[in-house]
Amino acid sequence: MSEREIRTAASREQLLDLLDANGVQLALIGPGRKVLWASPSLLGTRGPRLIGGDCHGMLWRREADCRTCRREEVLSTGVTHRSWIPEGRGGAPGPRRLLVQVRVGPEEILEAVIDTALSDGEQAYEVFRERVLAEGLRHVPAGVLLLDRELRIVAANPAASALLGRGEWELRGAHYPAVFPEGLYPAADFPTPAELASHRPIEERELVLGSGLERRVVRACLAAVPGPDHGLAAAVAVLTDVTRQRSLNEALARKVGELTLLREMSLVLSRTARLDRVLRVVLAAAVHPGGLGMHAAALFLAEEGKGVLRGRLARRAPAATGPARRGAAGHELEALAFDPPAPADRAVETLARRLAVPLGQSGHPLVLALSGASPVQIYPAGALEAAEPALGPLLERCPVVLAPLIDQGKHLGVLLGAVTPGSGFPDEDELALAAMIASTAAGAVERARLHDALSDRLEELREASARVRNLQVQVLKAERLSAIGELAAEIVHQIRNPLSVVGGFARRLARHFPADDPRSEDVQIVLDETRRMEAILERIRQDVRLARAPAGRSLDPGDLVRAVVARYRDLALERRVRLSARVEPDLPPVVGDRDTMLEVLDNLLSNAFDAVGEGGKVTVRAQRLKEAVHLVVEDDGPGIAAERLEQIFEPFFTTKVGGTGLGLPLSKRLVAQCGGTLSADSRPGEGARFRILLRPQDTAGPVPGELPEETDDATDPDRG
Amino acid sequence: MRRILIVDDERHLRLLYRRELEDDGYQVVEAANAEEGIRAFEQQRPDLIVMDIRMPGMNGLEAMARILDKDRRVPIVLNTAFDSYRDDFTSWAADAYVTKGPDTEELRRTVRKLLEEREHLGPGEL
Repeated sequence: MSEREIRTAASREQLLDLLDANGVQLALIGPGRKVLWASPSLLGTRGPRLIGGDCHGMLWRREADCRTCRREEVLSTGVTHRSWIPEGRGGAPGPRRLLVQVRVGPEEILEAVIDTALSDGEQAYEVFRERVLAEGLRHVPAGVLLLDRELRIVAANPAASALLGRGEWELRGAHYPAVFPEGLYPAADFPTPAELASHRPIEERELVLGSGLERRVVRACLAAVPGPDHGLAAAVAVLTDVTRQRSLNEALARKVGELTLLREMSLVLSRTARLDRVLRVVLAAAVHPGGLGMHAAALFLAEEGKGVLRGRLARRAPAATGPARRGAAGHELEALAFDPPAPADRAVETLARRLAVPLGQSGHPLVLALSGASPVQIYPAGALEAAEPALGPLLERCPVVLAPLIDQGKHLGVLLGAVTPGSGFPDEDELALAAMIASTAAGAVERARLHDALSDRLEELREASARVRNLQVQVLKAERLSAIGELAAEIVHQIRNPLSVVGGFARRLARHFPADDPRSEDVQIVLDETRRMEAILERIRQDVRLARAPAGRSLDPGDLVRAVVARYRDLALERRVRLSARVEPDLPPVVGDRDTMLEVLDNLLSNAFDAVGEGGKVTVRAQRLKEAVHLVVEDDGPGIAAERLEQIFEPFFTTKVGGTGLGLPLSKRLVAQCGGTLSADSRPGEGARFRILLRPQDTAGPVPGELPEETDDATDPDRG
Repeated sequence: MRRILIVDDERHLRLLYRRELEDDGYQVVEAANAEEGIRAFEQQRPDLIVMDIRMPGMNGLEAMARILDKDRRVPIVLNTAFDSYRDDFTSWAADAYVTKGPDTEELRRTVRKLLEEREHLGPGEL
């Protein structure tokens, strides 16, 4: 703009004449240090190839040192100048020369070399100032004021006049700081002429002129022109309208802020895959002053299976902490998202969770928003409350913005934002940001849902594999038990015959000795020991026989408990053991074989009686816990040490005198054959508890393998 | 004198039963396995057979079936270390089932009882 205007200026001829006459050389330098225009005297000495060439080394090569080019400084400060005394003819110092560089466009610099000693010094300089530069700068887009040593305006160009809102002639004679509206440029702030002369660049500030649409941001830069006495000879003020640049900067800052916000939000979201946390982060971005700065926000997610759009989470904006600026650090978002919610937030959260809009209500604003017909929908104050009165306390009669959460064509939900009162209706940029936050949210929500689904499957797989492993262990144990059972049966059989022979002949001997024969006692010992061995074999035989019992019929757990307790009534009386049965009413029938279970319970009761001894207590219970029916045999005997609890189900592990070590392992196996489990727990010193879990007949699948937490201790008068 | 055939692979058990049954006044014939038992039955025609079940080679249940094929009237007492064969329906054909043990009383009582029952029936009634 400046280049073209200077070239076509009506006063160009006149200007050039004046320049020549005043020994002033002018050049316009454009981007890339390209010489765009030069005054005729320069063209005359440098040749026509100067135009379009690099200014370095071509323009002021004799006068100024291009190695200290201040191009960047000029472009940033607007104006600079320097003076030097060139070497004249015969080595004598030449007249002082002055280089003034003024930025006249974003990348353009108008440079002037002025020979201050052209005629008789200062007077010529005044002429130059008044006539040449003022004329030359007439077409410069920047406002230029030429000031005398008292900083009174001697010339102003039209741009300066326009910026200051005063005529050129009106400005003349005015003191520089006073041309600005009162208070903007206090005299106390202003440097003295001496200070001005000794500093470079001097005095630069941004001033806001006018208001409303007329508002202008003006950058005022005051450069001193040192005179031959090194004092202040004159000064040049360049006023640049930076309004547009400033607003561009603001817009840029805002965009950078938005990008920062989205990036930080994505980062925070990438750190979590849990849906509830994802939703909290999204809401934080919506209400954060550096995000959408909403007064309140809520999230609704579509539940396809139930055919509703359900409120999931809502929150209000945090208490104001400072001026709103776009952009929020990740830790701010995280703090806002995950700090414990305020009571007011809990209230609106509950409010939102109660809301479920049927997806069939196609006219409902939320369902309409979900359809994604437009990236963002705006409802004026009160409009959404009319459709959904329950949201009143959340919206508080604010205008509402609705943005759909859509990921890869899946309509996942809706982000609702209540616009902060007094902030005006959201502008296009804010709507675009809302849409972007919604889109980022959609991706994270979908990811969280997939993650949840995947973890569920993973958990199922883990459980299944644990079950399989458990089964494998059980199968191995069962096989081992089976082998042991067969071996035991074989041993019993093999030993029984010779034992019968020994016992039989001993009996014959005993019959033949008279009672008083001392040998009769010896034979009696043989007979007793034979009988003891026979008893051991018989117990093993019984235990082994347990393992062959059938399984899988239906039986009444209460009946089972009563039957087995009945078997032990006499023994209890005899040993003064307090034996009791407790059967919960209305127990369902369980899967199992009556004879087998009787054998198992018999075995457990027999153990319990052995454990408590005289005067002890044995309780048999049947109760329902969760899915399973529990048959519990507990005693108040010495109990079982923790490290032995596992071993007691191992074959041949016994602590009982006369025990075979097969009863419990085989019992466990029998219960397993009925689809149940047998387990033991104990508090040493307080007693032991054996627990059979059986599956009610009306449920499918095995009973839960793990023993559930004991829940009845507190209410059980017998324990605790 | 009543003649009793004892079929058992355990030599000392046979000896024990022989002593006890001879004390009770019976004549005792022994066989150490099922095949020998069948031959002994054919040659000696005993009034009662005491048969072990688990023996090397042919087992006692099969030997009993073969003997009953030839003579359905001869009483047979199955005598074994296990009572598990009680559930085997083949064993139902036996007249009695006695579990082996040092106490031979049950065996001797059973033998006496079966032979008395036979006495009462008289020849030709079966």
